[in-house]
Amino acid sequence: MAGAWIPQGIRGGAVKTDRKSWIERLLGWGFGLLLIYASWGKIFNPLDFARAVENYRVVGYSLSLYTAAFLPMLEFLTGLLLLAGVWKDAASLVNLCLMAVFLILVAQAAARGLDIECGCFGSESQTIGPLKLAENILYALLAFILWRLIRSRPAGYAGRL
Amino acid sequence: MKTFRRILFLGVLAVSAGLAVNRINPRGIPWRLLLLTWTAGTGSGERTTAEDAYIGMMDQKMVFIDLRDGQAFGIDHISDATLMPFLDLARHPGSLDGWDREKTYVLYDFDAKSRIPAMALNLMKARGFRNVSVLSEGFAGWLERGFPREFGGAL
Repeated sequence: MAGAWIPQGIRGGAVKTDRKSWIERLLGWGFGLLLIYASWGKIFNPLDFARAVENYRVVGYSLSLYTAAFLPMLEFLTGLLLLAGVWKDAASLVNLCLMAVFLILVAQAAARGLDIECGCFGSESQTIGPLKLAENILYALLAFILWRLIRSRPAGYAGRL
Repeated sequence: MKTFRRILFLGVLAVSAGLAVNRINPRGIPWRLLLLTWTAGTGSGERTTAEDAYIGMMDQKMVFIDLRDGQAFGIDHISDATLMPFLDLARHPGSLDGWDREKTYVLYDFDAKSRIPAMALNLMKARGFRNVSVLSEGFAGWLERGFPREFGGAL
């Protein structure tokens, strides 16, 4: 209503919600674009990605092939959902799990002194080192923030467009 | 609960779409490779120890097939071995058609634990090769025993 008095707390709360909403959107779009970009090269060159997975020496050749067959597509679909703002609850949780797994893999490779490429962006991947590790920590942190923001929404919101 | 149902659906969709794209992608993982990973395994008659393989080499009765990539082969390989990168073999098994099926072939990768030689063995048996075996200790075991190797070759 025009000229209606709005208590300070509620007005402040509305501003806070707007800010949170924008952070959520930016993070969602950012991760959406990142995942789509990262998955694109890997979808069309799965054998290179399988070799990159095997280089981490966590799984053998067979499992690395299966990982290469489906993981890039999972990244791509998750990226699409985040970009479109659809099924944000599921997409943000999958995104968080992916970032956590990538962080663990990079950390263990760095700890073991493996001189390998990370395989994160297909043929444009960087060698694993302190910079790569810091980058992955940042991604995992931002993914966690995005997930928490979406989770804190009222029930029935997280799945809506 | 709804979230996990969505995640499950996403997972199933990712697997299906991934396999479908892989099927039509000319640079995709060959289907027979994905199937071979389930069936690969060797019986005792299909494995040759490094010592027996060395004797076979001296008697010129064996043909060694190096399943690694060209770069690894170029560094070193078993003397007189033939390079056949496994991925090339999996993509184009028809390339074996001109090979002599009466000869004895010994397949090897670097690591003794690698499943690649077993998968290649299955492929060759499917193409009618009877005298095929896997080098039990791999190229690593061959090197440990000081058996002859060559340097350089196709890259």
